Amino acid sequence: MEQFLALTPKQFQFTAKALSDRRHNNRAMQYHLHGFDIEGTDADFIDKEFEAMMKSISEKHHKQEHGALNILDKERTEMQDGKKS
Amino acid sequence: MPVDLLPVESSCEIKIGGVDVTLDLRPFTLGDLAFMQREFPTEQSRMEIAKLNADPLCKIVWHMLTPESKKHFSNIKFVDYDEEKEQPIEIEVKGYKKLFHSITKTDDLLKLFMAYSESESLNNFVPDLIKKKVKN
Repeated sequence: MEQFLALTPKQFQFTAKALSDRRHNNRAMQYHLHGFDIEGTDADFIDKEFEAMMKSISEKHHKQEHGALNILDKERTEMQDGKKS
Repeated sequence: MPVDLLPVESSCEIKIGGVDVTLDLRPFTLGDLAFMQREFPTEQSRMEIAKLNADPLCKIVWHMLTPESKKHFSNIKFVDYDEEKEQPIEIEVKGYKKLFHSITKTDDLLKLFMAYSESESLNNFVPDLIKKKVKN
């Protein structure tokens, strides 16, 4: 604690920023290890890429769900019309 | 732009007990920041330092003086006048009051303030980085 208090505010500020940057880089590495296709380690870029990917996955999932429901509906109506036994 | 992170010290030359002495101030640290927030919690109380109000200014400067600089005050005798006995008497003064009672000129107060503000401003947070939104 005493060592911490002996830092000047400026030193503390830059140390904190350096740690934050390192955490950013670590996160970038995590994304990379998990198979995300990223070209750089810029955090903003990664975040955007990650968001876009999550959005596309979500949309795809949504479409699949809707598609399945449509097929069920179609089958139900066909059964009701007597086209299918 | 590279930023120099080396702590910056400051000093000033004032007259104590009729002798010119150089007082060295430590670099302003997080400990001093905590001291400031504890002793001067309001904006108004901090403004008193900038207004060269001797008591708060001496309090913060004394807190930041190096031990070597504080030694200059160890041999000084502080004298008051006893109204009943009608003669000068020696009084015991402790802590920042030693500096407070040693100051005789406004000029010296200004020098103390300049030394304090140099150490405080050069070691304190850099405003540009605070404004910049740090994402994470």
